[in-house]
Amino acid sequence: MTTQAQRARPLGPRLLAKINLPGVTFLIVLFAVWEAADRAGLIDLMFLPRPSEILSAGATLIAQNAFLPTVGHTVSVTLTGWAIASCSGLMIGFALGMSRRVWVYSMSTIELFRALPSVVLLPIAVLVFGFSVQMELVLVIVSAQWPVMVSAVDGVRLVPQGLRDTATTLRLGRLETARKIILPAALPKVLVGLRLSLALSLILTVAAEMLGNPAGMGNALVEAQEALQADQMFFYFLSIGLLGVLLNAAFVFLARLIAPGHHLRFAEAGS
Amino acid sequence: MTTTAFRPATRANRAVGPDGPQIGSRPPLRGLLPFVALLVLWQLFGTDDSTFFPRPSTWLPAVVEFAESGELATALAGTAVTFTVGLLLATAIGVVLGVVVGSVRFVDRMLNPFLEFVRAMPSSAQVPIFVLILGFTESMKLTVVVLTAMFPVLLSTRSGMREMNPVLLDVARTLHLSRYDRIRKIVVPSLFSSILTGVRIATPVVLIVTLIVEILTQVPGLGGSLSLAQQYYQTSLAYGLIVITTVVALGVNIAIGLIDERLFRHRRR
Repeated sequence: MTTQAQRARPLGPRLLAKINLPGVTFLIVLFAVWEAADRAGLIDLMFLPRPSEILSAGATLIAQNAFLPTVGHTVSVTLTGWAIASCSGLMIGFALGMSRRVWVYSMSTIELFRALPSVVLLPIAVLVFGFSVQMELVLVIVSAQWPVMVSAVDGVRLVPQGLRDTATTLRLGRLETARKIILPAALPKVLVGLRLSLALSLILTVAAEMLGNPAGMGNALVEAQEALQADQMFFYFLSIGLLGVLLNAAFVFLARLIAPGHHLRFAEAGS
Repeated sequence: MTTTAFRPATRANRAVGPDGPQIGSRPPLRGLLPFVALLVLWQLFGTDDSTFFPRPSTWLPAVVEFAESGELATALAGTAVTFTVGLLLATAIGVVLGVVVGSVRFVDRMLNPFLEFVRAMPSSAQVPIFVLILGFTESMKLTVVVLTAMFPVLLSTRSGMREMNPVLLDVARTLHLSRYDRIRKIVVPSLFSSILTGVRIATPVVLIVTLIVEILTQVPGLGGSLSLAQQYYQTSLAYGLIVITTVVALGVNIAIGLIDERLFRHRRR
């Protein structure tokens, strides 16, 4: 009965109850103390703006219509790169996980390339592709596929033998086995990999924009820094952080829709 | 599974947790075939003076020249110092915060949104902020590295605190241990393996973030040299430095694997 009563409660109070009050209070107090300390002259760092200055700089940027196109660029590059990287990572990962021969003859190469910290490819990408969107995308795709690929390999290899036997008994073909048996069983691990590579995609997009392609939030951040516009710079900085939080939250939301049974383990794996 | 028999099966079963490090069976060296084929084809069909893809054989002379000028040693030292100090600081701060957050639930709830926000902040975006505040200095490099790399340690320590057997704390109370003794004799030993797990996850992060900062700001270090090589179109040197970085990264990975194996096997037997 109680559960029914809980379900009958309107959405508003339920959302309110979910809000982390102490946490929100802490953030507000943090910014208030920062503002007050700066006004009282307690903080004397030359390039640390007050929260109010950051907000007004942000309002100006939005009013000048300079902010949203920048965000759009970064988000589209991040998501496009991530989507392509996920597809290629999944396909290669499944091939490696399902075929013993493919694994034996290429896994070490994969491990070698994966050990290479992906940012070191940034200078090479700038050299080869110049200051372009292609450079950003290539960097994101090449680097963000590793987490997906590795988690797919692990997920596939950890599928219980019983399920594989079921596929054999049902005489499923390779593709059908992959689609109906392996993919659902490997999904929780794959989702963790997808989440990692989404975060990585954003990091690399921002890095690529800072050093290479003159567009997007990374570039805006560096331009504000070079112009010593600390308030604008902090506004972009906080926006990038917020973007990271939002992308992650959106992913977790979708992942729970796709794999509802696994959400607990999934949440633990990330947090 | 024939080629992986040198590792006991029990370890392979244990190795892959929901978010644990992937210590599956080691792939055989035959798997390097595609990589070797790539290098051979590159060497056969590439040219020495290509701006983008100089032949592999030109990489070594470029690196040797760079090393003879003494710059390679400076670069390696720069990266090594940041890596070591960064890892130590990230571990220390992560453990302290993890213990605090893990022992007081209210503090955990209070700091959670703040920490989540800092954690979601791409490390590349932090660079300009700290460049403006701290300048192109070693402390700037360290701040970004520590802010990013302390989270694996923090989270792992926190879950270690939560999973700690409450009976152990009762024992401390019964024995009237002082707060210091309780932490030294009960808390730290029982947290040891959680902390170690966090450090293991943090170690590659420290290396990667160190390189990110160096590449973006061109401060002395492997990443800085790489970024400069790109700017001066010294492509052979850039490829050579990438090879060196990969070797360093592989070395770090192997070291973690060995330390981990020794400590955990010892604890598990």
